[in-house]
Amino acid sequence: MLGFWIALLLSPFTARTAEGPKAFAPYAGLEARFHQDVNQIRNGRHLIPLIRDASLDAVARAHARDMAVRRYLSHVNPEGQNPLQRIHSAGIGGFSLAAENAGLTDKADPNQEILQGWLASPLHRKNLHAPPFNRTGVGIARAADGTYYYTQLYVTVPREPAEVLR
Amino acid sequence: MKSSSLRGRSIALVAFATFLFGWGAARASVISGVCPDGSMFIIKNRADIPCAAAKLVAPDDMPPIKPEYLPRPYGWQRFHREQDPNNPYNLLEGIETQNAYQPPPAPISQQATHSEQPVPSVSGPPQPRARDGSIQVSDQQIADLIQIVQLTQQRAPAKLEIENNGSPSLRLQLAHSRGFETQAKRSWASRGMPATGPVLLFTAEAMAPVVFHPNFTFAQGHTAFHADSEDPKQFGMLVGRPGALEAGTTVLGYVVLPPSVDLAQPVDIYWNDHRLAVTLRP
Repeated sequence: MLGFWIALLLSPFTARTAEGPKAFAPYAGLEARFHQDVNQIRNGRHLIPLIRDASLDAVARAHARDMAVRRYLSHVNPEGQNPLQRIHSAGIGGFSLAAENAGLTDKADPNQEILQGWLASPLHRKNLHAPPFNRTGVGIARAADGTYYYTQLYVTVPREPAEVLR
Repeated sequence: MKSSSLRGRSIALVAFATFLFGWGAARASVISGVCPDGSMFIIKNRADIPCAAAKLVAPDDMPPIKPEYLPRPYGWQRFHREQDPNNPYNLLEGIETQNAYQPPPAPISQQATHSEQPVPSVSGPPQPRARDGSIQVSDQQIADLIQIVQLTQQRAPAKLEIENNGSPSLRLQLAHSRGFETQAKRSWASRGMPATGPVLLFTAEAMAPVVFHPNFTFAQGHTAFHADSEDPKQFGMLVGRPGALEAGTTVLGYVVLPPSVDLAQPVDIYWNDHRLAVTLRP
């Protein structure tokens, strides 16, 4: 059983700027390798790398942990909050585009299982391969039965043109 | 095992007999041939032959009507033909690529108005003019399209200058051309690949050695779209190729947007994470 994958379509939005909270990260090593693997995939397609953002990490981890504890897989939590609302609630801003991938797996190599699953799904692949994203947050949590829950947030902090020639 | 093999053979024989029967019937009811201009016809009555001095050809001797649709042999043969350095057509094309993209001098009044925006010369390795799904354009048309992109900037500026260590390295310009859009859509429709969304042209001009990949994203309202550079119905290069560009090189390409994109409304154009807010048809 590979798991289920959920992706949020690219959706432009504007938010505020703030520092995110510090989060407990028991799977920091797994998250770091996952982030490297994603960037390796992007590099192979001549896409800019995703820089990890501690505030986004905290939001992604909180959602992964929530899914693992309450045993659900969705972009919308039981309180009805979607990823943008969670990002807004954390006071994170300055972004113009955002997306989220989520998944779960109970396989031995969870990073590869999740990544291959996302790459096999057009919607998730679209988020992984979206050119404008330049920041990311990765969250991994594990349920009591050993199932891994993954959340990855992708956002664009736009670089305005150095000079718009007119 | 044996019975399985026999059963397979009997099915193959039945299928083959059916094929022969169908072929014979079709052969008796059609007239096919080739006109002196190279066009082909398949008709039912001799009176419908569309040209004088037609050569009647049996259907099974007819060349494929659209050989580029054949999956392998034709494409493979054409690839080698286009790559063959001894093919005189490739040599000619290389010379054209180096020499023919100097646009004609503009009228004096126009030069005075637009002297700050000279049309760049296009250089680079010889490029095939059309691939399956791409648009066929002449050398003159390429020069015209580059000029259209530049001149459109006055009415609908969509220009992005990328700097590297404080000095300009890449200039991107996008524009909508109704003429090119019509031509492109007609071309795709004739190949059974209708497209309905707006078609944008872009140029990427290297002002220093730079790597360019067409990582464009277009966002309008709550939808965003990034073209798949491997799908000719979403993206194509008319001159040059993505990758490393030498200083002074200009590449020209197109992007097909989803039908829902309204060019009269503001669009956020991203190249990687560089953003530009424009209205392409103000």
